[in-house]
Amino acid sequence: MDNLPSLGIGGSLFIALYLASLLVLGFIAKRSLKENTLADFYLAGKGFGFGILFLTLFATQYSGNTFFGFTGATYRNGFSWILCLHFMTAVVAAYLTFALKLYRLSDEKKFLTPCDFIQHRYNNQLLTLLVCLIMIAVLCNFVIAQLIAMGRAVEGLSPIEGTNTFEYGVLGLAAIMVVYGSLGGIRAVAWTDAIQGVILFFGFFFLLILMFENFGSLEQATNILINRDQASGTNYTKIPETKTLISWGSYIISVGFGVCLYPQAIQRIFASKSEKDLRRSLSVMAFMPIPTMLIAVSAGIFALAYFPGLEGPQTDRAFGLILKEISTKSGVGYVMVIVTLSAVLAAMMSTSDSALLSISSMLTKDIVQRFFLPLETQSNLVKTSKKISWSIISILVCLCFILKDNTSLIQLLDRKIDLLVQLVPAFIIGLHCNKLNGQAVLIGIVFGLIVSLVLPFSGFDFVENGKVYGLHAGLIGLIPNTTVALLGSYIPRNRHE
Amino acid sequence: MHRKCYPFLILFSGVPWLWVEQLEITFFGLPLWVLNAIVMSVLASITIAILLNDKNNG
Repeated sequence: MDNLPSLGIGGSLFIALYLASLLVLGFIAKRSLKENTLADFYLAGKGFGFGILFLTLFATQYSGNTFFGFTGATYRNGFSWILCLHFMTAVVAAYLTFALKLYRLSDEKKFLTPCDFIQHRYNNQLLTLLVCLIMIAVLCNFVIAQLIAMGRAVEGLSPIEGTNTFEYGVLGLAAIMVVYGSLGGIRAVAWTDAIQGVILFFGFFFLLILMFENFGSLEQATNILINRDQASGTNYTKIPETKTLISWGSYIISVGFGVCLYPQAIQRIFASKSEKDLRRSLSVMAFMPIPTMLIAVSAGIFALAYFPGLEGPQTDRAFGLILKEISTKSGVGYVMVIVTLSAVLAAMMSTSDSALLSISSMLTKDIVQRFFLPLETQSNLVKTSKKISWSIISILVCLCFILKDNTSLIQLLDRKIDLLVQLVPAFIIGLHCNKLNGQAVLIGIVFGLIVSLVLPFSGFDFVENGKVYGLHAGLIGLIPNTTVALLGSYIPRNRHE
Repeated sequence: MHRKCYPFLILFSGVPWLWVEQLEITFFGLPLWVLNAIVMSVLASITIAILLNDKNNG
């Protein structure tokens, strides 16, 4: 991200003010705590109305990857990356299959973490532990990726040249996140998410205006790409080949059902004040992919048309190039770019703080309380959870420093959607199908995990970028997973009958 | 329950499985197959919103 426009003094002040406001919100949230219990700390006593619930869902779902990753992916793939619009819509479509029913159950049984549902539904400690460990592993990977992205952003934005800017950036932002998270719990995270959601919204809006003002119409950019396709045989505007179309379908299912099972998303469902608020928030969320994804794809198309020549990992610089171009054109452009960059930082922080809080809630409730301190008081558990938050962020920051230049390890960790999608039978099928048996689900998940983790690293000729003829390894793993879960639940029962 | 599959079916129909290449035709700077994908996504969003607000849907 060394191609980002430098912030200058004014921009740095704006971001410093924004970061300070997050800490202030943390203190206000601490004063708003109603009782010293895990339920109040992690679910705000189930008090999220429509506005906060929508903004926190929005800020949590759209990360820094939305700007940098998706613009870069459009740069590499051309218009075929419009598939991102489909898979982000599929996430909300996937919520439709379970969120309302799960909310009603959580309201009745007072669930705190997603694993509370698993334990209630299957009464199988081993399954609950496995689900918990998968979710924690996925979230740790998620936070590390966001921390690395934050460090790179600070490195790119900093007006001061220095060798340790990445490290200072990660340390500073991680410390701010853990301070306000420890002070006010989910309230602080949701309120800061609300600010971050608003900044994100305005950031996207300004970016759209500035892009068209600076680069002209999308038609011009598309015509440049059509001519390039015809002259050099590239596929930026052409209908994608069959393998990409299969991959498109695979993305709709994998990302749709994988992302909706992120623990922080499930906990936001639990934290809703009422079913009506949840319905309304998800209804608005259903429309959010349209502006956000179209802006990311448009930015990628403009970058591809007007800044050709980037290859491989360099393509992730496409978004920075667009911002740099806009910021140099006018004073207004510079100010708007500052808002957009704040939005990028906000997006990264809001995704990480929610994930961090979810990790600490699951470690406290599902591991420490369930296995080690079942009789511990609520106030002591809250204290333990804060210590866990600080310990986890310290470990993750260290891992971030170690992994930042080790791309092969990052690839190993980057299987989070493939892992999460293995939880579909446990959560979604189990919610609707009463006959599903905990032991069968457990064995199914193990099969699914083996397939989805072995396939990408097997070295087989038919596996390309972790996909088999366009199908994600996780989706292939889901087939034996679901089959084992269903057969294992129905066949023994029929025999007994 | 089957109604919850509608948004997925709409999204799948936005994938240009059977489209014929007509590069020279664009609307608002978008190739037709891209426009189709966007329209299907909008339709899927509307369907999700309707299903979410249907009291019989749980």
